[in-house]
Amino acid sequence: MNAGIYSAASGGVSAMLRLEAIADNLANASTVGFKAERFVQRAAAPSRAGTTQTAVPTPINRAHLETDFSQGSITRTGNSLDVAITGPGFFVVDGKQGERLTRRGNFSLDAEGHLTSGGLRVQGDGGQIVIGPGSVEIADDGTVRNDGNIVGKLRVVAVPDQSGLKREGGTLFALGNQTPAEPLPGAVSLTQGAIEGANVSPVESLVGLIDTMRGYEAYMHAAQQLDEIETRTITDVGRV
Amino acid sequence: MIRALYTAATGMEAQQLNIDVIANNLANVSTTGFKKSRADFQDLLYQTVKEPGSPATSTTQVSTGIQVGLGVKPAAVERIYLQGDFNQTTNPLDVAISGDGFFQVTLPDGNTAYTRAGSFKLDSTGSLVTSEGDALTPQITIPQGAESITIGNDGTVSVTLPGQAIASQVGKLQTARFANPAGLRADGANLFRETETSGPPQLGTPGQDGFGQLSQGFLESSNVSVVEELVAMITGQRAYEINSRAVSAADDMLRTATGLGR
Repeated sequence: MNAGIYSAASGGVSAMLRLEAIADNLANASTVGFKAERFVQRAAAPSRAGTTQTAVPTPINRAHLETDFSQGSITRTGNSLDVAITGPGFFVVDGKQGERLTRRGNFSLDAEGHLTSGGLRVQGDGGQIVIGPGSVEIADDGTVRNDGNIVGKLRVVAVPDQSGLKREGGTLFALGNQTPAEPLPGAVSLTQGAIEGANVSPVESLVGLIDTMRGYEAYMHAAQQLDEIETRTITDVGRV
Repeated sequence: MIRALYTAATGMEAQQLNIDVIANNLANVSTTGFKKSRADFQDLLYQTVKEPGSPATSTTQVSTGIQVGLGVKPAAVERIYLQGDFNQTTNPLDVAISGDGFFQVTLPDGNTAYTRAGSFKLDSTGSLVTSEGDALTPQITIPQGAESITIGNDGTVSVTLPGQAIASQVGKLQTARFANPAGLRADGANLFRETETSGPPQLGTPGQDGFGQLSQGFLESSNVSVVEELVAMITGQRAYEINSRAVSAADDMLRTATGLGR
């Protein structure tokens, strides 16, 4: 049998995966601190001259999704509990299963006045941060002042390998086996009264959609052609 | 069927909620003491097809893996307690709070509700009530025939009676504050109720310990910025549109697949 048809089908599956990633990005166009997923496909290893490549390329095996950690657009809100990170850093929250990283800085307070992000308490340098009555000022370096008094400093960390972070939903990232570290001095700055929007580019996504659709059609067309060849081989070869 | 269809549908639903919230903000642009809301979204769970960090060979590891996101869900519709603008009305029974705090109101069922709308009226017995007729707590009664009513920054209510040179104090307005005002439940009619997440009310004197001062003759208008809402509406509408394109792309691909083998 012709193995090429499986190769074409595998291309179709990888196009489907790409569509899913784009659909998820677009669905999260309004999610604060969302990082887009990017579809990456490595090229097949070229067959060396004089050799015959026997393995059939399967595009899906060379496809993977990686998180695009580029900066999202910063939108001013004027709300004193909104904080946007500029640069490669993350807030640390106490998740249900341990420490989690997030870029989602539209904080709120819980009933006891703890600073929370998406319902999870945010870590400061010396433990969780409690906000009482009065004004809240958050400096570029994360120092939180409540009614003029320093009540803590937002913990902002960087990781050695961002691509190793695992996405968990709720704009949270799990550390895996990495240890978070202090970001380089000056690399990260915080802006109070602003939020970082999703880093989803509508143009890129729409072009990606069209490309994916056409690519899928091409793979399916190839499958159909290969099927045609197969049919002819079966019915026509040997006919005199 | 394919996940992308449902993923894009969650995106459309989210934008619909976004527009619903914006529409409510815009509808209440002239509502006294209204606080705008904003829809807050979260990405849904990820379906892990290939675990990041799983072994590729005995010595190497898959660096990124494949985690497919399944869309978006609304996390909260969050009320933003930014100060609204002050409008001067010169009506002695209009009171605005500048800063933290809520007026307390006793509802007909005996429960206490909280409001920022200080457009008070008098009822048949001379008590200060809201536009809905709910009495303020602590109750303040203005004696009949009072010539002028003064409400101080600290909530002291005094009246001048005919034939008297000196104003006499008839009561003191108290305001309430919450650890997490965003956790209050909106009941409509400018009223909020205490919930478990808002924390219990802390009562205090306006102008002291971080409680906002009162200003007589002013009303706090809504904190809705029409321009901001319109821009948010445009981006919401476009995001809705673009998500519908993802639905039709998924549909298109499905059609191609079903066209196979014909």
